[in-house]
Amino acid sequence: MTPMQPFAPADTVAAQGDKNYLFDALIASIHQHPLQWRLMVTIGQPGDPTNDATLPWSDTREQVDVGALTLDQIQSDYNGPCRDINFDPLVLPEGMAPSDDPLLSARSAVYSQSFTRRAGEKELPSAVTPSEVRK
Amino acid sequence: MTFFHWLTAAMVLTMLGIGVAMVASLADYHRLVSLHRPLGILILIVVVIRFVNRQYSTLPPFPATMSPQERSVASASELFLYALLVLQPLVGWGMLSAARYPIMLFGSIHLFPILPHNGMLYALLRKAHTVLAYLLFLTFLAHLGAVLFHTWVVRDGTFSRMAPWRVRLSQNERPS
Repeated sequence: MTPMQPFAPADTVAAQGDKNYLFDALIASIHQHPLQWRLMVTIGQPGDPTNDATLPWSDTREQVDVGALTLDQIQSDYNGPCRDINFDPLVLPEGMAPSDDPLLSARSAVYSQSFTRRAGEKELPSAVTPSEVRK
Repeated sequence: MTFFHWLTAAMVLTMLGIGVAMVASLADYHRLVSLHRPLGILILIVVVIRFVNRQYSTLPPFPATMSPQERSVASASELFLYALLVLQPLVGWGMLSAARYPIMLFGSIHLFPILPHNGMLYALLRKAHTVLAYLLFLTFLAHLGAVLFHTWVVRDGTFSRMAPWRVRLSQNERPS
């Protein structure tokens, strides 16, 4: 994913004392305009390793822009739709399949255990509440 | 029919092995869990068919050597095992439902959720799944122990009741 908005470092001086300054900057930003990222897919060639994430492919590999992800809304995780589910990397939509990289299965295994622990915990207050998201 | 017994035994023991290996593995986890789900549903289906079949079958009699109390214990433990065998796959299906995991069986065949989306419910069922697995294993060990006891100590021909082959009973093994 490559961002379409130019990179701007966070203003840490003005944010002193505000422990939520990164959250607040994102909330302010998204209220002004949608945020976008391009999804770039790198096409492998025969011989490129698919089972070892430490081995990079040649940078001459063709990259295809397959679309843009646009975020135009923001929500607190309190009662939000992204809670109480596990973002398992091997839960894939039709048309996608995992490579032979054992790291994928390892992540899936570990995510499952951490999800079970998290799901069984008493709910704590959200770091960013619904009212803070509306500012 | 003894066929259902041996089929179930093979599937359940395989499942226990897969379950244990799966939660302790990293690179093999995905492969094992992808096998675990459809096999679990298959066990549920087979056990239900088996139970229905049992209602319409004549069962071999208890050996003469078994007292009424022993017969009660045997019948109760049989019912307990049926209950565990039905409950465990339902808990598995339920826990995936409560976590809103897509319940993939094979290819794009998947099951619908049978419980509402609830993180705490998932966590409870996930732990129940482990508890039931241990219970199943312990019940199997008790069952195996009882069979061996009857076969090698009491020598009352109990095994022949479930043997997949035809057995000629010796005089002291004939049921009352």
